[in-house]
Amino acid sequence: MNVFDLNTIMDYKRTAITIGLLLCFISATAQFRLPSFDIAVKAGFLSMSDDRHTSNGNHYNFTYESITWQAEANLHLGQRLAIGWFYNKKLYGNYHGDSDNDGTAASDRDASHLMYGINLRLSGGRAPKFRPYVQVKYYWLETVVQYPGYRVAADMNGVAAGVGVMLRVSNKLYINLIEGELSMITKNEKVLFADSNLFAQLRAGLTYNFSKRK
Amino acid sequence: MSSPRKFYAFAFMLCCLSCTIIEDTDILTSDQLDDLKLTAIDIVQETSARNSSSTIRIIKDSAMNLSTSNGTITRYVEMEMDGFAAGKLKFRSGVTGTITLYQSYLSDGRPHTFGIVKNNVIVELHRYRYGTNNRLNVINFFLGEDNLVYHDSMVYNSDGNISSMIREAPGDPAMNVTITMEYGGGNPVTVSRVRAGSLELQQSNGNCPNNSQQQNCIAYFRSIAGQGGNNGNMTVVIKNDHGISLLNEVSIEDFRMDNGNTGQESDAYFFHPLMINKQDLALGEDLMSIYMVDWWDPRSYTTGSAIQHERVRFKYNYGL
Repeated sequence: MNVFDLNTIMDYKRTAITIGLLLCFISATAQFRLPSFDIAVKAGFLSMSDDRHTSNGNHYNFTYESITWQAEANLHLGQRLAIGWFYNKKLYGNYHGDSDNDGTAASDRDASHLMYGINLRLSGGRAPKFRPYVQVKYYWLETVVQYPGYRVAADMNGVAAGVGVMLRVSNKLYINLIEGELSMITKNEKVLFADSNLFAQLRAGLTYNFSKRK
Repeated sequence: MSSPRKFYAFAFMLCCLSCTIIEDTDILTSDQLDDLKLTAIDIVQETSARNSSSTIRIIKDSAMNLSTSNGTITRYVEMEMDGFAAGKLKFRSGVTGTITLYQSYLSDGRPHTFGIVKNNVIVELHRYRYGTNNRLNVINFFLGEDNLVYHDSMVYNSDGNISSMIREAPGDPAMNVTITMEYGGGNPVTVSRVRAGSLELQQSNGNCPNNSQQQNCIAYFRSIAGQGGNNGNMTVVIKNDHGISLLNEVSIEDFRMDNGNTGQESDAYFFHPLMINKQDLALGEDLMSIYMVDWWDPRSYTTGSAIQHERVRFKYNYGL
């Protein structure tokens, strides 16, 4: 069995464990309260810097930039707390290289990412119109950059924290006006983003509430 | 469907979407990156007349153990190509049709010999010879197997750059010359000026993006007499496209313009092994600039209406 097979198996294994834990948690909480949840669809922008020192001594600053879409499902654990799963992928992605002298483009590569994980959201209150919230996430992130004849990939995970504000349109529909998020990379396979620790995202979208409570 | 079931359905759907985008053949580690090998070089010539492409195919990349007086050759790469379809790029020997190219390497990856063979006969040969400190001392260029055209000896300055190159031409002593270099233009320093007798090549990066020299773009001009005794500045722009520690593309652009005037004659370039192996040499970028005295073949300068710039692109393809 080569390293690729092992990585693939580990990917499936960790996903399965996460799904199992999440479903167990949801089942347990569902015994004690009326189930209530929301789903959200959002679009945003992701930017990851990747400073690189090549073997011939040159220094380049690469940046992965992506216009993203994100889907979420969050189970409400109370009036303010919700836990859920999110899935984030590129609509457009570009791995852009600058030299360190004057920032002129050295290259542009087609690139993509897949990000998913657990989301914990704490709402600021049940104000009639604007509802601020904070959220923390544990995520898995994969990025792939296309070069002529080969692809370079990174397999990462980490934690993220963000703030946002929702505008209440109706009992069930909310507009996520703005959502900012800072992510910290805790584990990386060390080819892409080897020296990167942080990246940022901005998003906006719609949230539909399936709550039974009014 | 009840709400909890709906939630389970959405959550399950998102979890199912969370599969990997990484494929088994993707490069994830530095070791895998080091295992990538050059498989082919596409050479695209974009001229005002037409575009054409040729491919240098790597047909053999094997280990060997051959002791020579210049070190032990441990790697031999054999390539094949069908010649150049357009005349922007050409061989110094004039060879056409299907040819074989080969490159041998010393144990630490330094090039030892580069040859071009037609019908089992060597037509061009470049020999790289190193000093005791592994520094490049001599490059010999042969037309044919034994006809030594140039014997170039490198002289280094205290910064470790090549300050001059003493050229001996046994077949034509009139070509003996000391080629001198100046350095400057940013960090790292690059060759800012090359002088070979009356010939002078000067770095002028107005044709690079943002009008400035940088690691991925460097431009030079040389003054050349034109029609009516007017002198014009002929420009060449060398651009590198780097990937993850690998060179992905080198392009040589013929900017047919000088201060708003347009030179109507298009330059030609002689194929030089540095166009495909400069990344294997410690001072490969500088040597690429210095050897413009050989590979840049400018034509007479005339002014005229706007004309399309031309270029030759070397696209490197890698695979496991």
